[in-house]
Amino acid sequence: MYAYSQIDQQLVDERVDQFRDQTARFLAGKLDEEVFKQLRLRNGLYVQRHAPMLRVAVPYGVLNSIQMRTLADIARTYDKGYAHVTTRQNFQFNWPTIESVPDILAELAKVQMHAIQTSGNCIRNVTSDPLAGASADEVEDPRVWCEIIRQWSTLHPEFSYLPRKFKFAVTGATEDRVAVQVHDIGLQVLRNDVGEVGFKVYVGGGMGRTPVIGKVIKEFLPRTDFLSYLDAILRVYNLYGRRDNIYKARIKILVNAIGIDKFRNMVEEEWAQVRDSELKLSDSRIEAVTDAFNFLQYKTLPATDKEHEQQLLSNPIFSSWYRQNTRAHKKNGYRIVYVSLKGHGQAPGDVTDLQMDGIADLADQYSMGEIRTTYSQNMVLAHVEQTQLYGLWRALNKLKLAVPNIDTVTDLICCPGFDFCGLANATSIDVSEDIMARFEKLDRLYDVGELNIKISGCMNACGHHHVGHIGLLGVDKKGEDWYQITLGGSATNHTALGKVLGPSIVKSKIGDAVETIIETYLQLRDPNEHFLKTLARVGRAPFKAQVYADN
Amino acid sequence: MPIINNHHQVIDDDWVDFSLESNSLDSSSKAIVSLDQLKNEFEELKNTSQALAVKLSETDSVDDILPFLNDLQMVILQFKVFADGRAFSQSKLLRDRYSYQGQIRAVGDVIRDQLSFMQRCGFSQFQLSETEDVNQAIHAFSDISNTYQSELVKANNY
Repeated sequence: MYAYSQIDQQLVDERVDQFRDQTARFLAGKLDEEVFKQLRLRNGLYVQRHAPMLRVAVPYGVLNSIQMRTLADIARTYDKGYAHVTTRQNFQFNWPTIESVPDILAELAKVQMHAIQTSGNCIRNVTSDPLAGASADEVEDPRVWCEIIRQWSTLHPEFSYLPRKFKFAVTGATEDRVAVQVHDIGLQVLRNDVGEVGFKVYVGGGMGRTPVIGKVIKEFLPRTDFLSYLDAILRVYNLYGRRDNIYKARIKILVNAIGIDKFRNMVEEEWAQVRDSELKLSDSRIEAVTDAFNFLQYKTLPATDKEHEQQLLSNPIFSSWYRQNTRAHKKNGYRIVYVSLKGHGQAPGDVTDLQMDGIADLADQYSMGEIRTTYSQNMVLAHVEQTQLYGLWRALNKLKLAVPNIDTVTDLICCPGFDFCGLANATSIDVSEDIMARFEKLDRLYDVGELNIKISGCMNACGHHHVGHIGLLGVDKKGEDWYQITLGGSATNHTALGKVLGPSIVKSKIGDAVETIIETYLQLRDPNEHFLKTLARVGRAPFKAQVYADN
Repeated sequence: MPIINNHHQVIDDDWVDFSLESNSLDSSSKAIVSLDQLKNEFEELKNTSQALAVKLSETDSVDDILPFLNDLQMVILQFKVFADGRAFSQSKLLRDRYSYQGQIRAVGDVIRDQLSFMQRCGFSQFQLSETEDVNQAIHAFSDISNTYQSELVKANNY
């Protein structure tokens, strides 16, 4: 993975000192609360319902075991012994004190980590494919480009006070695993007809109260123009994005208001001015960033292994886990392993300090010391030799991290909701627990197959409910938690926004409603037909009829 | 409200703001005027003042002052709210796109925590918010010693 240069390290260290000073001034009453709010947000610190929340950046979702142990240590020392993995691949700590945050940041800086730009109206930490560099369907490793964005956007003098937050996602694979089309800018690495590497650029996607699918602003952006084009988009947005209404300030609103064609023209005009500036990326600059990654060296291994095959045959539980939680690796004899953070009785995406320490040890033992966090709030050990899978599975089982449910109903995405978040209208964790309990039996889970549920506790949509096959949105009705159901969303290459099924449903009945939808699907589907296909074929009406049958 | 320059020194302010009705112009004035005044009364203003500066709002386009740029000793850009970052782009455009060599002054909610960003976007004078302590503010430019972005400041010594 990317190793800090002396410049990277100094910047992070100095940012800690700067934030320590800002915190001290605030605590001494010398810094206005509103000013401190903007400053602390740009360093990942929220003030939540019960306590502050610190969001730590995991650039493009890649960690090493040393960093994971530090996160475990922070969870133990400054929090209540656990952390939360977000859909943007970051870590959140829910219980630190404001006074302790500079010390936490200092601990993070020692292992090349930080909380810079994980919140606030600035360019946020970049997300990427959790299988980057390991999956076979990749055009080029996207992490190099993520790192180039990270450096360019970090403490950017011009783009640190934007109209609203700004999120990038980059994928280098043909299968989108990072929801590029629902980001402010989504980038897909591709090759043109003559084999040159470039990018398809989406702009103006996003969730929130006005969900929008990103529009293609550039079919093929040559790699040398990567930064100058992003700079042009950001400048147009900084100058012309709305600042009078927080709900209309995202770039998606600007793009929709003036239309993608006019917006593209404005960007092209700006780009013409900066294209040949110092933002032009030379081959040597790209190479230097690539070299800093020290990409992993793989062994030459046979594609198959007799003992491994025997283990699969003789142990059906191991076999289920293998089928459900591992994926093909680009190298023979290796496998990509998902570590499920969706165990029964565990809030989706939560992980304890002991589990974190355990994952760090397993990463060292089985996956070259490297760990990924995923959009779906799980983790990945990306480079496991298949002969080692059985041992890894047994070890993950002991840590309660081997629930074989990736991409199934119980692998649901869920925001922290009213239990933690100051913005939420309704709880989300208990709803997820209810649904998970109903589908605890694996036979039933596998019968349903691939189906994702996404839950948000309010219309800010951190749980991405708009793009869930089944989406649940918490709403507050006279102090009671109710939930609006949407069907048909998707965050893949064929991104789609779910459509509302009907009136919202009270919490005590929402589990029944979800179960009814899934049972209806099972009755209506053709053999092996995916939920989205069945829905497209039969429409929402039969689901609506069943869910609202009592009314 | 003290003003500091790009060498981190406190400077005297001998400019008078004529965009305010209470002030009247004479030939010895270093005059700050509004964009409308500049557009409508440029020749007269040029003749009756010793030096001219224009004060833009965040919503003004810097393109509008291009015809006058050679006669402007200073452009004032406003941070009515410090979290409104449009003036960063305005300054950057003046320096990068239009090679403006005069002074660019930040006024309004100018806090020490943003001084380095301002300087790196080409600002050369900083009228601090009244809540700021000038003696501490002058040290804030060097909070972060290395930056990733190309440096107007180093390249052009603004």
